[in-house]
Amino acid sequence: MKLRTIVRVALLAPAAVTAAVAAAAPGKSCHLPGAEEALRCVTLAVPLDYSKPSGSTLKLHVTVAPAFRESARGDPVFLLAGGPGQAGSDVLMVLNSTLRRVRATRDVVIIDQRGTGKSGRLACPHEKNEDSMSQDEIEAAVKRCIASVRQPYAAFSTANAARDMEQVRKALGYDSINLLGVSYGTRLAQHYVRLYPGQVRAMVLDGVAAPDQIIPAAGQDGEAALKRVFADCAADKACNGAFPAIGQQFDALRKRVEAGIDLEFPDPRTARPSRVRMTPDRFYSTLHQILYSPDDSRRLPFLINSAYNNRWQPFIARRNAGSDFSVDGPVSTLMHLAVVCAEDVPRLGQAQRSAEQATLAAPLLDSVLKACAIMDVAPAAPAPATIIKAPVLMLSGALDPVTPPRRAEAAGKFMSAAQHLVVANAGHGILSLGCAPRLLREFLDRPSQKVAAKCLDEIPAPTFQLGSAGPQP
Amino acid sequence: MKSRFTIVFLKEFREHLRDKRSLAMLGVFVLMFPLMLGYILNNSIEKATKPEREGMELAVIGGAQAPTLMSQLRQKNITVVDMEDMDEEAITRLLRQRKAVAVLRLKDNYAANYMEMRPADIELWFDSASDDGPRRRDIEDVLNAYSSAIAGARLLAHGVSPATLSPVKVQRYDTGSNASRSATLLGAMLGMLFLPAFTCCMSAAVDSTAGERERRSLEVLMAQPVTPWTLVCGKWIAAAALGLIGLCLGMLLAHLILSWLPLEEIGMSWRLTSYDLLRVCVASIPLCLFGAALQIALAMNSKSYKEAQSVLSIVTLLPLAPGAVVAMMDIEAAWWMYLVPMLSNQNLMRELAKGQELGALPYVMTALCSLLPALAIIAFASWRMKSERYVLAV
Repeated sequence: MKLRTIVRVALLAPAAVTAAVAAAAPGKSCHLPGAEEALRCVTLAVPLDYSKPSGSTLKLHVTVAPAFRESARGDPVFLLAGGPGQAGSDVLMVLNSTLRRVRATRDVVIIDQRGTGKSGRLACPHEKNEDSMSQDEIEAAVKRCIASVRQPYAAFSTANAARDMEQVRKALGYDSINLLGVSYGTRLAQHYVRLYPGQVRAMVLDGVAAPDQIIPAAGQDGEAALKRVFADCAADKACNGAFPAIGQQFDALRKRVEAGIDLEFPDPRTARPSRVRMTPDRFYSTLHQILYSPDDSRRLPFLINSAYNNRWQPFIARRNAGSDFSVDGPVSTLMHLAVVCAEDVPRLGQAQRSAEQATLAAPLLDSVLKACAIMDVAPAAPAPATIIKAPVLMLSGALDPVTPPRRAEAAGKFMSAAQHLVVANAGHGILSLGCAPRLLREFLDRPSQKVAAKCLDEIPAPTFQLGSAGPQP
Repeated sequence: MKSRFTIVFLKEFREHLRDKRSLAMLGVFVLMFPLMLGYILNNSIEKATKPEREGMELAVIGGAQAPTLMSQLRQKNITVVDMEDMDEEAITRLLRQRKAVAVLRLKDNYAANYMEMRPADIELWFDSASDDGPRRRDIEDVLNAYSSAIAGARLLAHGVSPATLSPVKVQRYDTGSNASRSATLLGAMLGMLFLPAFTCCMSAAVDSTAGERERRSLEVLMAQPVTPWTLVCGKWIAAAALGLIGLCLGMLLAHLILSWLPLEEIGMSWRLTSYDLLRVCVASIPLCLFGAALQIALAMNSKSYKEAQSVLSIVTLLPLAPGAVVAMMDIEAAWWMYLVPMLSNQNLMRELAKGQELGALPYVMTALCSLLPALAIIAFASWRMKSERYVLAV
């Protein structure tokens, strides 16, 4: 070839490629809470019921964060949020923290799963006095809310969410994709890869849901995590000194709450006088929530000790924190129930049900069962657990109250190329901690290689809170 | 048979290529700037991607009182070095030696005050003359996060919602795209890529006019049957060709370096294609003509070779001035910028790097704003060449 021809080809080839890529940039520019920069927003009409493709449709909202390298649009990362009921557009802040390194060379695609966020959110209206309503009032509100929805609840299944993902993949023109599932998103990721095994290049699962896991039956793992906190406290010199009898205090408190306690105090946020009945439901759901994060759970001995001494304000303030910071709550309640009632509750055997009755998740399970009876959605056939061949990286926190390492181990039995990393001092959700963002990039760049996970051991155990002064200095 | 112009042009061009100084100028200006740009960017990329940032050492006095703070600092890849208590002079000396990014001093009563829930004192010593600003901010970020986490926990312990601490929630929205941000950052530097249009032809312009006159060879040239216009044009195009070669090679090198560097690691991108670049180079041909014309005319007007050299080295820097003024005063891109030579080329390139769709007009304006003055100057120069006073230097 003549020099001139070489030069001409060298000059024009990249130009042609770039022109093609620029034309494929999908959607329109948009700003969404949680991300400072402009992202791409795509709205895609998908069938509400895939067995009737010409029937009514649902508008799916997709957020695309383009890779910093313009020409790297080959294999994107699909981020699947948790819940079920958490919207992708509610977790955009991870783009800048956890996913920054990944985004250098890969697009990040975040779907608002059907029934969440901007994809036809199925949520109950915010009740003004949610934090102090009685059990009957709450049940009546849930009943009203369930009846208010027109769409068939059966349409909001994990299987349909996986089919939606496939539609998005095709619409955006990607050949193969990487999946990044968080919590319930790991179930969706496993479902997708089993439906479309050829499309998945690699998969990262953070807080892995096992195929046999029943979401509302989380009591035994929660109970174990709580025991672990008490054991750690007993082993810690300072904590043991401050709360030497925390286990017994908790048992005594449990009995008192089972009987019901009426409390009067200034509201933690507004300082208005308020009264609330501390029910087992409120007590246990708060405990369960606190256990998700080790930072949080290390203040549990203090909260329990204060409540035991009839100073409930810190506990109430912690209980209300979720609704104090957000008006609508992060989870789409009805979508959560639609999934759980069709896919989880029907698999709940009698033995497991009675085992759960003795744990702190019993009231939660109870209220889910009641709501499911009202919702009356047909049970979904469980997906066959076929072997997943794509390379998988699984992450578990040893202190996790919902998806502890044993869940990932159970899921790993159906994977032929899985790595499982257990982080000693972490709870639910690993990816944002320590060197995990770097490992994520490392794995996605070379999924078949073993990641160097030693740096995860450097994540320290948070210190116990001993008194009102907060965590130890 | 070759035209007279071609003969003059080839003769001049061959001579320039034989001249070591011309070639050295060309080589230096082609290589220097792109390599410098690549080196600087590569350095910041390496800094950003290194898992453990080296040399990020923080000296801490009394750190044993705050183990949680120390572990949070370590989490952010900050190496904590425990120190004995020091006086002000010792701290100053330590910071002057650049052994540590900063010194954190916890007073003896730190833990006691903390437990009493009184403000616990931390001193942050740093040397603002050192270039560790970003690293120091990392430390301050950790301190702020630590402080606000404790404040939240304390409020909670008092039965007050931590939501009290955030009465307003500010969501920042940036409408600049990643490409336009990078273009702004790179913009000022990109201007330098057009400098070869002036620097690479300088030696040639001086040598073929003032030099030739001093060597008395111009007289011989004038005795040939060619018009002064042909003669000047030949010298002009030969000098401009050198400028164009320098400009294109420099651009190509910079393009290769910027495309090869993993700029995305520092949140930047280089989205100019080779085709865009080719168009920029074509639109810059008149700039090279302008540069060469200006230098030839000025060199002819100088009394001696030496004077020509010193005048030209000043003039070479002049085209940078509009770009520098625009950058310094933060003037927005406007159409009139396409009327100023060099600034128009710079602007064209920056808008392309931003991913802006440009019509044909900016290219045409960029070309004309250099071409028209260039022709005027050359007309003036050939008029000067007619004068015997000039040729004989009397």
